[in-house]
Amino acid sequence: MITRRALEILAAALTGAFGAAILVSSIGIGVVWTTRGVGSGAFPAIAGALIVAGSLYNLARAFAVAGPVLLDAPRLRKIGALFLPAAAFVAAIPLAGLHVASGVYLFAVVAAHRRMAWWRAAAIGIATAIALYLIFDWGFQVALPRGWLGAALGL
Amino acid sequence: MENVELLLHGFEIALSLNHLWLMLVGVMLGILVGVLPGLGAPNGVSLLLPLTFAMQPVSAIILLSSMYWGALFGGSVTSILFNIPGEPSSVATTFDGYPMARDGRPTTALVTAFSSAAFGALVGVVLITLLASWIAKLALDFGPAEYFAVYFLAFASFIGVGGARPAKTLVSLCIGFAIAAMGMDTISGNVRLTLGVDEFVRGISFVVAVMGLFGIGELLVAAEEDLHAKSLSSRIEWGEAWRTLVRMPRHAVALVRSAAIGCWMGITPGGPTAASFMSYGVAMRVSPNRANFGKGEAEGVVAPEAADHAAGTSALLPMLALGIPGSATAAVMMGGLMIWGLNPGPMLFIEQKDFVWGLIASMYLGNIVAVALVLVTVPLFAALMRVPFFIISPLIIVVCAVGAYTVSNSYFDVVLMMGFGVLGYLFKKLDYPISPLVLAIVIGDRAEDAFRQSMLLSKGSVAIFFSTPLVCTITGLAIALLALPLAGALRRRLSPAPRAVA
Repeated sequence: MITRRALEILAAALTGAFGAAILVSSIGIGVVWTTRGVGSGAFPAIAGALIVAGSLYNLARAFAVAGPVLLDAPRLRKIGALFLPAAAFVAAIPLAGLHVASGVYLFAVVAAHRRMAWWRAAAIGIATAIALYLIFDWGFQVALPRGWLGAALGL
Repeated sequence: MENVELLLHGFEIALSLNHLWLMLVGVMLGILVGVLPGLGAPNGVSLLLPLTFAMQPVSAIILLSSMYWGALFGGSVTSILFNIPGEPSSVATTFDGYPMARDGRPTTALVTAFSSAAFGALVGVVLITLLASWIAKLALDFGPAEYFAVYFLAFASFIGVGGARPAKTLVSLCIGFAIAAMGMDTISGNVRLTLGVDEFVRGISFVVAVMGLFGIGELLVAAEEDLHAKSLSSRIEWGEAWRTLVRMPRHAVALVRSAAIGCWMGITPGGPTAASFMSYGVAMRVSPNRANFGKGEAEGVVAPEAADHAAGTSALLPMLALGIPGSATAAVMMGGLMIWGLNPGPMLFIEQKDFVWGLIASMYLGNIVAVALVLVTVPLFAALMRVPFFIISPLIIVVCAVGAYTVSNSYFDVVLMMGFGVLGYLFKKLDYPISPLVLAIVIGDRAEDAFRQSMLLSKGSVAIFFSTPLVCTITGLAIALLALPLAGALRRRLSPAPRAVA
């Protein structure tokens, strides 16, 4: 169970931390007047300071408003079911290359739904990999990454 | 009537076989991304961007802008037939479009939407034709201070009239600025703000941010909402289509009003989404059939559609004339212009006449192509919506990954895009606006340059932003817009005791 308040606090903490990091490193570069004008950290320092200020305000508001449940268990499961395989797919790209990783990813997700015969899921996966090759590598001459597997096979 | 001459010259450029073909391809791809949940106009245009590097700029912009028109139309199709907005800007179309289609009038709903949209777009293009070169001429005399004031005005209008909570808009906008500042500093040439990550030396591309924020983020929201595409009949009855078209002049007042709202929101970067909601709200308030809104009232379709397209089209006016995009998609296109080596802004009207007027002429043609194509292809794209979500969603993730990778052939960008996806989901859930972030990434460097050059001129005094009547007016207007939310909050606080005032 995740309430709106919890999510608001998380977002404000994330943006605030980013703003603070930008602010601190901008000040490190120099925000004061130099012979060449305003220091190169001045503009991002203003942005960083405004992010921190806005995040603090949002944080304060998060505590002030009531927190209805925004994400219950079934919703979290649905998001996880989409995001976790997607993250695994991205993680697999350096190993298997974009074509193979996409094909396997499509096959795995479609087959896991059990609403389609396994061979049709496999056909969708293979078609995706081939389509990627035809459109990008062959059609637009943009070489997609082959990964460790591609290097091992000498592609 | 110099503009008419230039426009005719533009038509000569746009009316080549090659360009008509690009319009066709662009519109079809646009309808496709407009129909698919998770993919929208900003993603679609970003995806095509790396593929246009080898093209002539005028051909490239015709392809990209046609895709934009297609996406705007595609978003309405799913809103009406499936009650699923394909684009955030067509959410308001679901309010009356879907009930109308559900009650057995899908053709009426679709044709009402398309013809209102076409009218809105036409008003937007005419406005560009008449005003663009005039504004550009005015802007030729702009110095850095004027430019910074105009950028400031654009950002202030996001915060003041963007519709989201001002503090959230501010955070979103400034994150965009911070991201734009990462990497090479354009003035000193030093590398800055890499936060200890080597890959940030070349900065973060807006394409990566768009893919994650709009693509993955929207997909996660869609997965959670459990979309079931139950389609209504998607057959177009041509007799009814014609009768609907003949009835359109009855909505003349609503059409003109909605187009005006749309143009205003498109030029001041409120964007199409805010425009469609605002127009719907106004239409409901002034209509004698107020009770019928939400149940299939024709003006409930006319208002958001005309405003949406008027805003989408006129968003290109400030992009061309001043170098300030009026919507997220316009921001992506402007990023493209800079990659092609063009300098968006008034000089474009002098140095790149063919480009500017070819684009404007193609906007007339592209919208005609879009209306015709979308009418004919409704059944085709409706069929596409019946492909189950568990096949569509991994495909969209693959497409976004490829899009992020191809910007600079970097795997790191794909990982970064997933991070932006999580952020986009969080922002969408909590009503943080995303467009300001993308806009700020694209024009952050230009805004910073203008600021620092002004400071150099004035030797560090902010008084330069109030030094001439022109720059003082713009800055004043921006400050007034920023004060708007504060004034609203103050009024709410005071209103419980109105008698004391009287």
